Amino acid sequence: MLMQQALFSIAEPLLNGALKYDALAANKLNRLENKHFAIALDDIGLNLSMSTFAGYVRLSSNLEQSDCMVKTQSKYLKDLSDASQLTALIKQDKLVLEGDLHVAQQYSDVFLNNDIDWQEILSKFVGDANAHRIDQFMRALAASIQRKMQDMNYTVATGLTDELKVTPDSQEVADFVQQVDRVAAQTEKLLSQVNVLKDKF
Amino acid sequence: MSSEHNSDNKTHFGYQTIDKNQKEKMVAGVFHSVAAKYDVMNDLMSFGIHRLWKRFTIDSSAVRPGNKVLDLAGGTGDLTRKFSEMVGDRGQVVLADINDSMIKVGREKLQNLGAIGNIEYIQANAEALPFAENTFDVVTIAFGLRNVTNKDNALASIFRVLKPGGRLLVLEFSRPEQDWLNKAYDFYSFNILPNIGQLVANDKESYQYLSESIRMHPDQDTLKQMMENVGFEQVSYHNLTGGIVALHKGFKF
Repeated sequence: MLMQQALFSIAEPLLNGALKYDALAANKLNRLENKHFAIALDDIGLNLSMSTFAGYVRLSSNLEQSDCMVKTQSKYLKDLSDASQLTALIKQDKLVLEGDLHVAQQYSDVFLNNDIDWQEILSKFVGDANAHRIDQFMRALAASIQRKMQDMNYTVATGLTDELKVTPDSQEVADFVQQVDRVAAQTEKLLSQVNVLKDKF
Repeated sequence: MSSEHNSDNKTHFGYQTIDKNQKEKMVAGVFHSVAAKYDVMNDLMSFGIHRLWKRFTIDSSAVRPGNKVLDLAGGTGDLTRKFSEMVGDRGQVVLADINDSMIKVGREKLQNLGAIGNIEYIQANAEALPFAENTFDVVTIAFGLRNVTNKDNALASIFRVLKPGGRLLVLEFSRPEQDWLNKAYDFYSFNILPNIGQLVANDKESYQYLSESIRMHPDQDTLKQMMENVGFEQVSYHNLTGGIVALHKGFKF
């Protein structure tokens, strides 16, 4: 437990210091104010929760307030980069994704879509090889969350249009727009004919 | 019934048994003496590990923006500083300590670090907290409870000022779980620690008291029971560094 605290107390200022090199980080962190994203690796007992207070990212081991949580075991981490494995892991209860995945996506955006060379910064503390592994893991996790988001969006969209039929699909919307345009054109034509006739009489 | 007192009028000051009305003054003397060197001594005595114990306490507090937090026996303000960041402009942190020398050192330190605006400093006795009931979302007392004359009264007073749903965190020295660690810890506490105190703070007696007061403090299960006795629910504790320190957590519902 204290080992985690020691790691966090080293990593936290490092992380926040590095984010200062990204001009867009402040805006991104603004949107994450008081949002908690947690990763729990049950087999090695690692609990990591990231939260943002006044633009400062805090690392903690307390998972109580998570807005989004990824729960798995360290041996499945490498499978997270494979989308097909991801679904299988969830079905086998080897991976749990809870809460608002947008929060996870926004955190991954802060840490991965920036100009900061994380490997370079991390390598000073944990060595080149470990820095590379951590970087790869974080990228794999971010990619798998993004894919999951896309899958969910697709599932929701097809569910609403094809299964429940509560909303039209894109082709139906396009047809409808075309029909509206046609009616509008015909109405205008008719109106101009009425005006011509009105002038005659 | 209190589990820490020999009789109604007597209490402990380290290994000494004294009249209850003397303890407050004697503890005050210790902290007036150590206030200036308090942070340096904490780092030296614990090899810096007290920072990790406090960090774990902050983690366990689940403090949110807008919360009202009481850092009781807040001393030089290590917890207050972090809570101040976490509660934000809408929240408030009250650093309360019975000892004005400690408050003075704490206030100066926090102001120098730029922690201002949402922090209030109050000199208060934990046994009779000067706040309305149901005031705070979180109350912490780190390395302070063992110095309180009547711990049962202090716990009851904390319970009163907590809001329903609020939590108390008690970070305090406790009983090591392993016998070998207990022996090593005893040797360190009674042979090395007072000498560090003499060397750095020119005050051997205060650090001798520190070691003795730790041994006289209730162990993990006794303190848990004391918290339950005054009304706290879901009380649990977490041993840190093999039980040298324990973090007790309890809720008011």
